[in-house]
Amino acid sequence: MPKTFAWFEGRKRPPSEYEELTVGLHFGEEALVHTRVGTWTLDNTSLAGVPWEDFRDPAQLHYRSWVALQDRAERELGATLDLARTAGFVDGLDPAWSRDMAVLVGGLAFAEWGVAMAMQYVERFCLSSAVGQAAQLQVCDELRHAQRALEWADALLGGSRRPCRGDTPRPPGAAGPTADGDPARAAWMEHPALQPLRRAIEMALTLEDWGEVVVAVNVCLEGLLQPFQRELWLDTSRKQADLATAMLARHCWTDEERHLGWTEAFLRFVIEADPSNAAVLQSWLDTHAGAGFEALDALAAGFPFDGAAEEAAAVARTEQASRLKEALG
Amino acid sequence: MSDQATDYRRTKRLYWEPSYVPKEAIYPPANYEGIHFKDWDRWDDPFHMSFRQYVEIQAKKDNGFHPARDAFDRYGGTDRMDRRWLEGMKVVYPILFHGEYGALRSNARVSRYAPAPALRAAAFYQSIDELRHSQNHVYQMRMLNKHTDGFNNWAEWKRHHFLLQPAKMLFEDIVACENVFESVMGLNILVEVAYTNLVFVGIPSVGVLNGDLAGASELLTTQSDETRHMAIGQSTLRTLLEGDDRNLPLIQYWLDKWFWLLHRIIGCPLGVIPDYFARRKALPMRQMFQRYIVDNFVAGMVEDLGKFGLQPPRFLDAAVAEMEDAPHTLFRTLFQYKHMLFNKMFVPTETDMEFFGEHYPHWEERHGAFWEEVRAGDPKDLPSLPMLCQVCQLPCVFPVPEAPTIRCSEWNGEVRWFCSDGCQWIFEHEPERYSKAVGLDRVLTGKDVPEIRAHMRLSGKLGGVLEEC
Repeated sequence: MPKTFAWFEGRKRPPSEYEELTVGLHFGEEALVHTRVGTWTLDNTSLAGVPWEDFRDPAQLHYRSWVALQDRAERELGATLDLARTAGFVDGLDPAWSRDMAVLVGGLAFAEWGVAMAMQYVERFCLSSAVGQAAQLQVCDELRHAQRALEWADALLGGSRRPCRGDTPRPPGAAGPTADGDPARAAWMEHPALQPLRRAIEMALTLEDWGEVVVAVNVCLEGLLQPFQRELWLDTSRKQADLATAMLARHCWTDEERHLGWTEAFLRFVIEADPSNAAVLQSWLDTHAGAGFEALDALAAGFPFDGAAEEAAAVARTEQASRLKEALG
Repeated sequence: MSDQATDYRRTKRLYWEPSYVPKEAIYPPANYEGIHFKDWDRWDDPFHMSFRQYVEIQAKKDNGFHPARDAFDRYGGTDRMDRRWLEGMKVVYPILFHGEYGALRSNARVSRYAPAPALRAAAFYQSIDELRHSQNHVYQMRMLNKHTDGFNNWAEWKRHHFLLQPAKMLFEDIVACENVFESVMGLNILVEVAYTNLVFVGIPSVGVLNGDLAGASELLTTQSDETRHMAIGQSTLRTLLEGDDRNLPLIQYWLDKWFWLLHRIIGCPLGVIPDYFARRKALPMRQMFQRYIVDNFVAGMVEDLGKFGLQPPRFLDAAVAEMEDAPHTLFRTLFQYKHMLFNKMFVPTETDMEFFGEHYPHWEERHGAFWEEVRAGDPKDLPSLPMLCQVCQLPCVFPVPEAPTIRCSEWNGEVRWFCSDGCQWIFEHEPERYSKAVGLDRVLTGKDVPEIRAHMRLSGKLGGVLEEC
């Protein structure tokens, strides 16, 4: 075996590049400085008896591979959205559909950013360099989704208001897509279909146990709402022949599948380390699962898209249950 | 095509005022206690970065740096590095990793809790930059580990070895700041603005002279991100001082405190790299300190922000005076503990001593006799750890071991010892924060050398003297 770091010696297979760059690097809990915020203590979470540095993200991404991956992804997605917007494809969509989709996509951009903020907390306080990195890359991915979703919501909204075709610049002083306020923000703050989700995210941002944040956000919200978003956006955009929304949905899901993957691995890992952690996880699930279902039901009811939302919600419930069964047994 | 300004406005649009829970529950005011500012939303991020721009720029940088390091390794670059320099890098990289990883975690908190949305966005990108830097340092250690001992257990040493405890203390301190603006002051102003030019520009220039092209390339690509971080710190500092003059006393305190901590924990130890571990030398540390810290950082800051009442750091004169001896004092101290180190030490050559005599007027008088005794056969090894400062965790040996400025204070019925007026001053301002640390000197009291080595995770023949010097 090639020479590696001491903490990998004695293993049968050599460590991967991901492992050498990510694992075993945490400072530890014996702090030299003490404040009310503190550095890291085992009671930052109720999950106990876990050898935190043994965690592995199944995606095995580190900074170099992640930034290369997302650079390629952004080029692909950016080219599609730019073309759709500038070559008049948005103007060919059904205005009513575009308006509804713009409100949904724009509103959900805020949810993505809320998830990013929640995972920033996990990144800061978790007791493992590998968990911290998985959370950190998720934070970045969520920002990506939020920015792209807002961009696309603006484009869809512009198309839905079209009096004429093409990419003709508006006359000076004329209202742009968001000049009369911010429809995406208005949807996030006021649209009834988005309020249960906003409430759930705001509640998650007040949690203090970083393990509970993972469950409340990645299991109960993301585990349910991301499959719903994928199904709904892909299905309805297919019917509209709207390749750009479909591309956005596909790109978001590619990242989200990775987030759900590390979360599933995390749940399995903490239970394998100490079976008593199952009860802790279950109590968090009992506390937060209802908020996820409420958010899903409200979204499906508020943005029915001719029954597509109900079908997407059914798929999402099944997927979440399947993932939980796989992870928790 | 979406432009930069539009992308940035989109990011700013993403912040909302919570209504289902009190705003204070999501952004607790304790995170910016004592700082006054009228409208956090008006705060602007100087870089207006979007995600797509970020990954495009960073992927280009990585595409330039990593192949260069791979080629260096493949074509025997490590074997052509100067051995002394390589021994120095065994100390440098774990310290740098401490800094980057601490900065990563610290910025995760700033990006979550800073009251200004623009600062949260800027900290977000800084946090992921710090992941890049910490992993680039690991890449370097991974490469060098294949060729030499002294890198293979660096993560354990950074937790348990006395040589790396000061860096652990420093960056834990930044991570643990209660006020996010203190984190910004400590990290973005003192670490990034004051010291990264010295560390990531000054040191690589010496590294190149000693055959370390991969290390120089790595530190320079790191510095390309640091300029963004510096701008965040400078913009934050100016905004706070301009925004409300009630912020001045707290900012001045943070400047005074973090300037001393950085001087003591980074500035002093770093001097052994250009002055000793570099066989082929450029500027002596004393001049580098004058150029990068005094002339560029302090003078620039005072010129720029003095009109708001900001004064030069309280312990500036003491720091300048110490640089006359600090590299020499610390190298001597390390030499006395060469049997407890993971790197190897050496006796300075005649050429080294000519350099010291030329650039450090008091070197012969204060340090020359020590090396004469070594040359006469005294190994100078010490059997137990020196007394460590309660605050900085460095040995209490400054300015010179023969006449150290040891200070003490009583706290909760116990005496605490300090290496300097600066560390004592910091302790007396925040005794709760710094009183609970138990230094390795106390942990290892009464232990013999094998026990001390075992505690510090030293195995085999690590440490000792570099034969080929």
